[in-house]
This record gives sequence, C-alpha cells and structure tokens, in this order.
Amino acid sequence: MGRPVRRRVAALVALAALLTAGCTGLPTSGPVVSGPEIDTGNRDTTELRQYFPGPQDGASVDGIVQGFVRAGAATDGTYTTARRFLTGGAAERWNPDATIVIQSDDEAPTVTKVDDTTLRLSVDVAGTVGSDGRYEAAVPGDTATATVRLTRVGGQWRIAELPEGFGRFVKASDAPRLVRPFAVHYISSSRRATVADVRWFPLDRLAPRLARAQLDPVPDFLRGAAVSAVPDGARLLGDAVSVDEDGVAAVNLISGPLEAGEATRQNLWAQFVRTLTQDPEVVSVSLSVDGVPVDLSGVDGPVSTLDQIGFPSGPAETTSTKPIVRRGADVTVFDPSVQAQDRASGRPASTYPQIPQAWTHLALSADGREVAAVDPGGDGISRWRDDTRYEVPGVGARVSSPSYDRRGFLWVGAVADGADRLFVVDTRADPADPVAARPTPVVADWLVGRRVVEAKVAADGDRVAVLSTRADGRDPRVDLAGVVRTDAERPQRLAAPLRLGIAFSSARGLAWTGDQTLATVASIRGRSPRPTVLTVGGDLLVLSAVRGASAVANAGTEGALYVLTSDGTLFLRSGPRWVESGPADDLAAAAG
Amino acid sequence: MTGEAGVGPGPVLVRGRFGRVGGALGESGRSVRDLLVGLRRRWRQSLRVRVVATTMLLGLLVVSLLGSVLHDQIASGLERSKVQSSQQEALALTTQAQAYWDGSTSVTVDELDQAARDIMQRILASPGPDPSRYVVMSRSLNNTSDVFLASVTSGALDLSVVSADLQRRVAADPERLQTQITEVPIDGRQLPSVVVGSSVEIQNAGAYDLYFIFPMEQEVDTMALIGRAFVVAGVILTLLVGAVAWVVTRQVVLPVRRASEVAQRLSAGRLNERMSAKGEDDLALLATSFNGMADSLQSQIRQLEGLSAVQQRFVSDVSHELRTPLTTIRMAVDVIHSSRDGFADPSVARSAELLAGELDRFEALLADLLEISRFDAGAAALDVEPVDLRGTVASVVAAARPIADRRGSTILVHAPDVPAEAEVDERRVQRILRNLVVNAVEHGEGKPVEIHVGVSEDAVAVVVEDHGVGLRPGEAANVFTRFWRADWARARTTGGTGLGLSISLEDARLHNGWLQAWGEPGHGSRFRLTLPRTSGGTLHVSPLPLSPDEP
Repeated sequence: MGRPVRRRVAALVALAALLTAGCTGLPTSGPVVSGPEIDTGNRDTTELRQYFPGPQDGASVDGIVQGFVRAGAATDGTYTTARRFLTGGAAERWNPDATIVIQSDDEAPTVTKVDDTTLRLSVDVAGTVGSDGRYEAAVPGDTATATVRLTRVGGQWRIAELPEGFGRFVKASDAPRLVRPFAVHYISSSRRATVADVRWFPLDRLAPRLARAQLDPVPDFLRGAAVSAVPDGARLLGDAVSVDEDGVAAVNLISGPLEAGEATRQNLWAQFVRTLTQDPEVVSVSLSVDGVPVDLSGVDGPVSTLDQIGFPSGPAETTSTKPIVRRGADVTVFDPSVQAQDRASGRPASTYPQIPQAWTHLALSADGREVAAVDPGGDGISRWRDDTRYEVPGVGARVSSPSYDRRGFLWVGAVADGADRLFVVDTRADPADPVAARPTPVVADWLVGRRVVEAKVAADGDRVAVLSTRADGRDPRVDLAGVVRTDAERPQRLAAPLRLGIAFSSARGLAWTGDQTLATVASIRGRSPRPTVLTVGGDLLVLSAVRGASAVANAGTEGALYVLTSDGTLFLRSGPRWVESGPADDLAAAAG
Repeated sequence: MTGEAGVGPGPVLVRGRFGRVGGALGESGRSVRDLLVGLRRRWRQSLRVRVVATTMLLGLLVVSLLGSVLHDQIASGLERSKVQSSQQEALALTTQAQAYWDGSTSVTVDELDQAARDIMQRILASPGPDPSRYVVMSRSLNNTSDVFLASVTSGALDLSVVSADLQRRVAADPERLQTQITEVPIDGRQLPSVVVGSSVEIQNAGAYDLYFIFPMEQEVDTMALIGRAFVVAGVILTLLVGAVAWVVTRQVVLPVRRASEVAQRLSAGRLNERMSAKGEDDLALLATSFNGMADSLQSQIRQLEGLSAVQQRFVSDVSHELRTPLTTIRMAVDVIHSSRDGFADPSVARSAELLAGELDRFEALLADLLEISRFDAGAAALDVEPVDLRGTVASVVAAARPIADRRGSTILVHAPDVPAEAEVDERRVQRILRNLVVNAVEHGEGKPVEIHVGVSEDAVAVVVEDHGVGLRPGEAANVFTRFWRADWARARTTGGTGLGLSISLEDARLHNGWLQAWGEPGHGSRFRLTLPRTSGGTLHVSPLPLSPDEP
C-alpha cells in the first residue's frame, strides 16, 4: 500500500468525521421566520361605520367634553376615540355600556361651568337604559345631567372624573343605530312556551350581549311565572359568542352540570335560539356547556328554529272568536271590514244576548260562549251564557272592568272585605254553582292600598298588565307582572311588578294591542288625555288626541288599536291618524 | 562510493537490523511497542488483513456518510412537518381566539382577565394532562392601551422562553404568524421547540401576543431511535462488508499462498512441484500459467544442467587427457632444462628456461582446472579438524615472505591473544589465505599488507587488506568470477591463473563460510574470510568489519 493511497484514505476518514460531526439532528435554535397570514375575520366591511375625531391639541375644556360625548356615538363598540378624551384612570373606569341616556332631541349637551375644571352637562332626555338593559322612559321635558371634572395631562385637557355609572349621551337620531330593545326569553312555568323579557341592548356585539343577558336569572316580575334553564353561575367562555360567516353563533357556557332531563336541555336550547336569532347576523345557534355540545335527540349541528329542537313554537293559544261590539243593547260580532252603513242591511241574528247599557265594560271569553259586564252601579259582575245572566257571587264593591284570560279565568279587581283585591273566577265551573263560581283572590302584595282599574292578561297567559290607582283615584300606574298559577292553572299570585311607562296624571282603559304592546288613554302632567302606547320594553308613544277618548280596545288583530269615545264613536288607529269606524258603545275582543 | 558485495542469507541481515531497533527501545513500552510492531508486521505481511481493514474502513466511511446524510434529511423533514403543523394549529387557535375576543362583551379589567383565563383554559390550552403545546399570552410590545391585562400562561412555561427577537417581530408584523425554533426547558429537559407567535386584538385592551410553544419531544425521541438504529445498522453493515472482504480475499489469497509455496519449493530445486489447477476461473488460469512456466523452467534448467554437465565433463576430460602428454612433456623438458648449459646457442638455453617456466604455469592451470571441475562435479569433500587460524596465518605469511620481499611489501599480522580455533579443512583454508595474501602483495604496490584475525562466539574471521590501487565500484562483485581481470590489458605475468579467487570462494562455501570483498580506488581493497567455528554451523555476523568505515 503506497503512501499516497494511505493519505487519501486518511482524508476520506477526516471528511466523514467532519460530516458526522456536522450532522446534529434536530436544530435547537433558529431565526424568526414569517409564517402564513392570520385571517382576522373582519367581515363587516360593508357595514356603515362612523369615526369621530379624537381630541385636538389645545382644545378647550368645553371642546373636550363635547368631543367625548360625540365620540360616544361611535359604532365600533370599542370607543377607542372616546377614551382618548379621558385620562388613563378614567378610561379604565369608564364603561360605555353603563347608563345610556337617550336624548329626546339632537342637540349637543348644554355645558355649564361649575368651576375652572368642573363642568355640568345637561340634555333633554327621552329615556335611560340602565346597565341591566332596563329602559326607563322619562317624563317629556326632563333633563339628565352629568358633572365631569377635567385635568391637564401633558398640557392637554382630559376628563379625569365621570359620574358614577355614566355611560353615554345618545342623540335621538343616533339611538336607533346604537341601542334597541330585544327580548330575553324564559320558560313559562305553566306551559311549554317561552316568555319574553324585553330589554335594551347596544347593537355592537349584539349576539354576545344577548347571550350574556340570557344567563341572568329570571327577572323579578316573572319570578314564579317563568324559569330559566341556564344553570346558576353560568358564564360565557370569554364573555363572548362568536358568529361565524354562516351566521352560526357559538354559545360556549362554563357552568356547573345541567339539570338532568331532555326537557331542561330543550328549554336551554329554546331560550338561546329564540333570544339569539333576534340578532340579524345570527342564523343559527350552536350550544355547548364546558366544551361539550348540549345533546338533544334529533339535533345535529346548529339550530335555527324551535321546531328543530321539538319545542312548541306556535304563538300563545289563539282564538277564532271574533270580537263583539255593543250598540245600544245589541251585541253583535264586530267585523272591522264591514262599514257602519252595512249594519242596517239584514245581518243574521246575533247569537249574543242583549245587554242593556246599564251594564258596562263588556268582556268576551276566549271561546265566545260567555260575556261579562260590570253591573249597574259598579258593585258586581254579571256573566251571560247564552241568554242567561249569572251574578258572580261575593265579588265586592267598586269592581274594575272584567277581562278573560285564555285559560278560562275571568279577572276582576274589586274591593272586598274592605281591602282592595284582585280576583279570578273560574269560568270552567258551573256559573250557577255558588261555591265554584265564587271569585278567588290573587295574591299581590304590591297592590295593597291600591285599586285595580284594569287587569288585562296577555295572550300568553303568563303576564298580566294592571292599571291601578291609589284609593283616591290618583297616581295611576301600569304594571306588568308574571302570573303564578297553581297546577290547575288557577292564578294564585302575581310576581313583583315591572312598571311600564311613566307617572301619568290620569289613565283610563288598558288593552293589549300586541304581544309586547299595550295601550291606554293617559294624560301626562295634567295635559289632556291622549291614547298612549306602552311597550313592555319600557318606552311609550303618545299618540295624537281623540276627542272624548274614554277607553281603548283591540279587535283581536295584532297591532290594531281602537279608541272609544264617551259619545259612542269608535276610532281606529291608522298610522298617525284616527279613522272613524262607526258608532259603538263597547268593543270587546275575545280574552282581550 | 562504497562497493560492497557478499554472499550470505539476506533475511539474516534484515533480522539483525530489526534486532537493533528493538534493542534501542525502553523496557516500559516494550509490550505496547511489540503489539504495534506485531500489528505493523501483520499489516505488511498479510494481504488479507490489509484488504479487510481497508474495506471495513471504507465501508465505515460510506456508512457514516450515508447515515449522516439520511439522519440530516430525516431531521429536517421532521422539523419541517412539525413547523407546518404547529403553524396550522396556531393559526386555527389564533383565529378562534380572535373570534372570541371580537365577540367578547368584557369591558372592565377584571372581566377581560376572566375572559383571557377562560379563552386560554378552554380554547388555547392543550387538553389532557400531558400538554402537547404551551400557550403564553402577553401584552404586545407596541400596545399603548391604558388597560393592562395580566399575562396568562397555559402551563409551566412563561414569556422567558420567547426570544426578544420573536416578540419584536410579532409586534412589527402582527398580520402574520412568526415562527422560531428554540430550546425550552420542559420537565428538566432542554427540548427544541417550535415557538409560533401571533397577535390578537382585544377590544378595550389593544393588541396581545399569543405564543404557542410546541415541544418537539416526539421528534427528538424519533431521532434518537433512528440514530440508534443507524449505529446498529452501520456496525452490522461494516462487519458484513469486512466478512465479505474476508471471504473474498480468502478465496484469492489461499491459491496465491499455495502458488507462493509451490514457487518457493520450485526455487528450492524441487522442480517437479506443481499447483493444482481446478476450474476455469482466474485463479485456475493463474495456476495453469504458473505450471506452464514451471514446466518451461524445468525443461530449460534440465537442458542447461545437461549442457553444463557436458561442459564440466569436457573440461574434466580435457584436463585429464592433457595430464598424460604433459607428464611426458615434463620429463622431456626436465631433461632439456637440465642440459641447457650444454647448448651452444644461448638463445636455445633461454628457450629451454622459458619452456620450463610456462610448463610450470600450465601445470598449475591444469591443477586449478581440475580442482574447479571437482567443485563443479560436487566431488569436493571437507577434511575438518580443529585448527588455530593464527598458526595457519603465520605459515601462509612465512610462505609469502619471499614474494613480499621481492615486491618490497611488509606483511603485518594483527592477531588476538586468544586462540582463533575453528573446525576447518586446514589445507583449503591455507589455500584461501595464500591466495588472498599473494593477491594483496601483488596488488599492494609495495605498500604494507595487513592481516587481521578476529574471533567471536561462533565465528572466526580473517581480513586481508592492502593499500594498493583498490577496486573500482562494481568490481567487488566480479573479483570472484572465473578468469576475471581488473585490467585486461595487464599482462598475465604473475602467478595467477584467474581461478584462484573462484576456488577460494568455493572453499569458503564448502565451510558454510563467507568470502567478501570491499575496495575503494586509491584506498586499496579488503577481503574478509568468515568461517563458523563448528563444522556445519551457520553464520550470523562476522567478528571483523568488511570495510574500514564500519565500527
């Protein structure tokens, strides 16, 4: 073996050693490398957006405060611009979704100087939305004020202190695009249906807001009448509900275990589906608890309607009974399409009995077989079946106008045994039976000392709207309360009241004109009474006046509102106007 | 310019040289050195060892190269796929987290912190007890929001494992995922990990970075497994290659060894030895060719032997045939020579003298020829007895004294005090020495001739040195050739028949001895006779140096 060969082998061995030493396997460090782009998922590029200017250098205290208020109308939900008017500490404390003041006009706030660094803002207010979403209507002409303190940060004025709970001032024209009412749904205790609680929500990130509200326990005014299937202490993962491109809202609950039973899971689904699908972005809902999808037989994937989960979705029990109208003593079927002049032409004889005019405040049962009215003098209630009149035994004095609910109970307020009470009469029993036909009291602590003027049960039978006054007839107010029924569906007591509308000077008549709306004839601050629409969401709409309006009524159709005048004329609301619909002394819809 | 020639077994000299190297070594390292020397000798002597070792070395080389390349390829493949899957996972998680943050209604710091914890725990954190990823959420470097959220981590790792460089890059380019491979301590182990950085925008709190740390635990284990497999496979492969080489060289080397043995026996004179040639492969061809060569050599040798025998016979016969007439001529010449004074013509008397002188030379030549032919015929026999060579040298010097005196040379004898006794045929030794001394005197140009006698354990030596014209390079090898002359122009006036040194060499060989010549022009020449002290013994080293330069 020659020396060059040996040298070559040595070189090869060295090379191999080098290569083997260079082979280190997995790397232990490396440079930073840019990877794929992150899909930020911004879909709402077509949505109208409005950006407000931030604080200008050298702006006055006035300018800073006005700029802050204006920037509160931003729709981005983050209020980054508005926060720039605040000091760091104030920005951290400020919750833009705390009390939102909705102005009654579009004027900028009136600013008055308290001292060099303290300003008072005041606006005319239409209503306020609290952090709990309750809308509180304001008496027209009321103002809301907020006192803010400013300080200099880096030579620029900034707001250092806002009033506790201050959210935003929203101009009347901005309000519809910033905050609106939506229903949060609960499950009725007495039937398979949802019961709505209408609250107001800012429109940004609506789905998570609705879902978050859905986690709240049953509100006081429905306690006992409705339950929630959401476990106590549940929270949303990340306080968030994400809505994907297909409109699927993913609700991910963190909570303790669900109550057992298919019905509970079905109720949970029903609540979230009904509530979340109000958000126009949400098409369907997927629901999971602690990362595990809430299992429901026959349900696979996101749900968009109650039918899919087997929950009854139909409206409350409907009635096919047509409303009745009384002209003189004649009680006939009221057909809104038939004009007054057609009345003369020979119509089939009415199946309803003649009820003399001395009896007032007609009410028609849901099945149309029974009519009730207040006895002459107002100290009793009569019920007519076919042509027979039955006197309701032991009602008491000063009875209110009667009304039927759709479950066969006649509601009436009266003063019995010296106390003002609310009663129900079971119309399923024989009216001639002196025991079964006796009215039974409905417990409602909050009505103690008040007199019930009208008690109208909503079509769902779970809520009752009560117009009551003090014993002397003043301080009328309309309250909404859940009806707590026994197993036999007999109303037992009312839940705590939710006050609707505002403090009126007077109010007469009360009628449901829809699922979530009521009407009354009320006067505000002593002005002449006007038909007024109240919503269960809390706001109210004062309609144009009808001379001599004495009562309101619906005719069984959603949204239709009739006003009866004291001179016996019927007016139908048609947009902003009132249309005369012929003479009538009384109008009663079935279970209205 | 040293000319050196000798007769003697080569390996003996080689062994002597190595013996000297070994002697120079210290005792301590002797065993290691012996091992090394043994290995080296084995390396040099065994083709099989060389081939197997080289093949295994080259096999190891190739296996290492291949293994390292494959190892690297697998590692980079694993790394690539891990980075890719990590990025995909991080991308999906980031998108999901961003969707949650977009939909989050949290406003206050407490709510945001709660939301961050929830999102980390329920979405980002790896499910199960043995996390496949770790997630760190921390405020982005360029977040100027006044709201500060707590950093959240999903496991034992925190922001300290994320390099500042990665944080800067995420802050600079939040639209993209940023990936870095770094080493992360997990369960007391430093594991290379893929760190993917991304950014989410939190309403009311600004940008927050998410760092997903994916430890390459499985990949590391896989690589360790592959590495072990490679080592085992490499060792097995190398051994296999070595075994193959062993088998192959065995198949080649065995016939070659047989061939070499046969060749050795051939060279030892056993001309009938042949290789076995079976089959038709290359080795069979070699054997056939070898056998052919052996056949041809054998026949040529036989032929040459025949020729040589004829020649020797011829010389022997001629010599014998010449002896009878020569005896007659001798008697006649003696008569003529004794009566030369009676010749009237002095030129006739002179002729008679010349005739007698040339006849002496002729007789001597004939005697030498007969002697040589006896050697050639293998008829020479030794008649050994213990002889002190100092006496032999003295008698030879005494006999040569008259010639030396004529030439004006002095003969100096350097003999040891101890007897230089050896079992030799004194007549033959005397003949050798006489030959050498007379040669030295004749070529000594009147300068002194020195004779050294040396004795050792198993050999005696006599060196005859003159300081005459010396030998030219290459001549030392020729001096023993029959009828060779240093200068052909020089008249053959003096005694030599041209066969003296040849006969002396044959005599030395007959004793198993050496006769070697050394010479340098202008420095004279040296002839050394070395003889074993016991008859039939072998020589290893001579007691006296051949050249004067040797110690």
